[in-house]
Amino acid sequence: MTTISSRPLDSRVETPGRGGTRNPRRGRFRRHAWNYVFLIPMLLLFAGFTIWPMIASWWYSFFDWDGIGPPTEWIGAANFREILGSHAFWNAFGNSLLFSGAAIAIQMPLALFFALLLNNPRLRGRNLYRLLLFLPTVTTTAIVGIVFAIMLDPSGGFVNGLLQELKLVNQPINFLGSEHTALPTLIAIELWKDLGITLIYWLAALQTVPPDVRDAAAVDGAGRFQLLRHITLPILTPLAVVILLLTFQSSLNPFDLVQATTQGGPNFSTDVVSTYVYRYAFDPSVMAPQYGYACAAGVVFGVVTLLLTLVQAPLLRRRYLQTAR
Amino acid sequence: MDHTRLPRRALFRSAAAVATLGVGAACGVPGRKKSTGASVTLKIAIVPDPTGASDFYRKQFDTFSTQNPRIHVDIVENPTEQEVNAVSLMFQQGKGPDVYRAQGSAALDQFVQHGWAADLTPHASADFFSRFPKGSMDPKISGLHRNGGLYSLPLVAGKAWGGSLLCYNKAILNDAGFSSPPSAWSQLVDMAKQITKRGNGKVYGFAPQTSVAPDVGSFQATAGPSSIGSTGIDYRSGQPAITDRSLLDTVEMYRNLQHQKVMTPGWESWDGTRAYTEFAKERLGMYVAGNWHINEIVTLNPQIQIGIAVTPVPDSGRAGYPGVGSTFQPIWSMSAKSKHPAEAWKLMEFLVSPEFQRAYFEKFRSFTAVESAWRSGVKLSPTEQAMLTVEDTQIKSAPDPSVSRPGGPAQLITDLRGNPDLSWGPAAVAAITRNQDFGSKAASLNSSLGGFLRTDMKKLTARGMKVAAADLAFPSWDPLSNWAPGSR
Repeated sequence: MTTISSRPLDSRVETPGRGGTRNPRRGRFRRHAWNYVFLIPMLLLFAGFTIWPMIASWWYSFFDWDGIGPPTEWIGAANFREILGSHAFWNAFGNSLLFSGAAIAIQMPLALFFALLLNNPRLRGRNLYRLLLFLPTVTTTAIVGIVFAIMLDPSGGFVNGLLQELKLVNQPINFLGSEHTALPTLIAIELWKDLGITLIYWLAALQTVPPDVRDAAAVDGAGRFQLLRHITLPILTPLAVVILLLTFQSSLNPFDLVQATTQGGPNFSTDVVSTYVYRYAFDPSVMAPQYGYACAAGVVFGVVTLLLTLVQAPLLRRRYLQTAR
Repeated sequence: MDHTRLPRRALFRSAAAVATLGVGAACGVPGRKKSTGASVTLKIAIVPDPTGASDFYRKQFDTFSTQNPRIHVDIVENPTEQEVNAVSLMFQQGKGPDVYRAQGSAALDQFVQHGWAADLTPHASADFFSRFPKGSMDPKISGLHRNGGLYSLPLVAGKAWGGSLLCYNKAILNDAGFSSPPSAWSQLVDMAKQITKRGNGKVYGFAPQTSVAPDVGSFQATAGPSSIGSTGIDYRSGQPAITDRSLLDTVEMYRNLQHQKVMTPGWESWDGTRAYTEFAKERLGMYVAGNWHINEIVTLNPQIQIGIAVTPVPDSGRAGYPGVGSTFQPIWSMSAKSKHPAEAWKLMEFLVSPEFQRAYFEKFRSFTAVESAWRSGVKLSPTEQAMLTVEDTQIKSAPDPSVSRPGGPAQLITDLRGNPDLSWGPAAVAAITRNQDFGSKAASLNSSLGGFLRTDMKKLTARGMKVAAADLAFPSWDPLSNWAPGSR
């Protein structure tokens, strides 16, 4: 394999200028000046819509503030104390983690399984299957939520009708209205919906497995399972680490699905941190919004998520280095 | 890749161009649209509800512009749930609308506090007030006044937004052997059971209005002071009363209905539209409807045999009525920052003109604030007539410190409404769906509510908004009678 460096060959050569020897850093900057110019819009947007809101939410979380006008009532860490002692917040937090846990434990392996099947060039119609599996991902979540709510309705819904018709159940199952079934139902919908994007990640990762290595192993007598275990999976591992982190992060925020189906109910059994924050900051039924408190909830969630990611990082890095060697 | 060097001059030019664009965008370079002569463009923020409102308002404002050729009206539509946030942001950016939907009492408080709502008192003449029902514009009860000033105008009649009606399907009741709606709680329970049993999983006897079961409050108001259902406080004494028998018994009735599988399964995740949709599909025998549901039901199913009745009362007899603390809900407000206050007032006046209010009633069949628009010269359907009769029968005026006692008491109630953890609603729904006793939860909440009130009173008093427990008490209030404004 040939490695191509993107650095120009003369990048370390100093360029004499009008004033004699010039600063190499300055020269490098001038050489890439257009790149920096084109980066400016993105940097401005990133600063305005990502960095600034993040810093602002930290600042606002120290105020008793309704979101209108400048915050003036400094209350120190009172919002954080209230959140850390709030059973409702930790309930929402736990539910958010359950969404992520399910994505990692079920969605990732399932998507890998489908990716392995669909990566087979001899499979007829594989592009159609890929499309069908990816279709839910590009469907608007609110629509998905409404359609599932209608389908799963215990009073006249298609799924319960079918289950009763087939004599599989005597009473309709209250999928979204029961505390016992609502969360698993939403997790299942979310897994189905997001399977496509993880599938795409895995398919992309599978393209990095060199065919000649597989061919060589096959010539040496390796069977399908051995190829998978000793060739494909080890090569995929460094990318699997990235897919794991992406899946973990993206699955933490199922706001649109929850809001479109249960709004966090029944009895907060499907409440996640984003719906919790929304309730305090924007819900019109709460007549006096508590933006400061909502910001603090977001900050706590962000910090704990960051810590969880950092805890994973050394373990994943070790695994990454082992397999990348 | 070929790295072309960027000449210094070109770099400066590019940077200058980017900076100019940025500064231009930040400063809001004026648009090309210029006002010509003395013509004025007003901006109004509305919501697209009910269905068809967008088109209705556009036509009405075109009519207004025809009558006032100098004034053009630009419409900004916000989703209903986001209207208050959106208008607040518009004001914060210095681009507030001239006229906007204030969306109710709590939001109007915010707009007034931030100086975004204009005091309309100087504009409103005695002749203007005469178009509203007599006495309804008294600052102590109108719901439109703040600190003696008029800050908003209504859209619909007070009872039309404050009330709730027992809506029943005559055909379903007849099929189950009932010729009239229930008048007592036990009748409701028996009839609901019978309908559900006969419905065989396709039709149910009763269901709450939404997943948060706001109708528990409607039944509670027939068994005790309505203030307990709205805030958890008994306004006769000014004390927390979540443990009051009226509320405990109501939750117990719902719990039994749920436990015996009488109510439509799945209501636990219903949004605000689902109950009337189920009713329109003739899969629900009875439910407590909001007034605006009736028109939606008839639109969805014109053939439905709909009946309207007063909310059933406890078997021991009525001990209260659903109460409204103000005669109107504040809807239209005018910006205190408007550059065209005279023209904006003209638009405000148009919104409560008999012509506009008549057109609104004819389009949406909602009883409007200017009652002359529908009390005379309009043929009401039997259902509408029944709605009016029920509203006139069962809705009484009730005290509300947030309306009649501005300052500390009003702020205390605003703070309480902004604290969802002190609402009895979620605990009641949990008791109903989990088949648990509500009493212990109510006792715990009652204690928390008392603690909150004491703490907030101290906090507000320290801020100069003096308030004491006595400010929440109206000892002369009889929940079975209309409360007279001004009495203690």
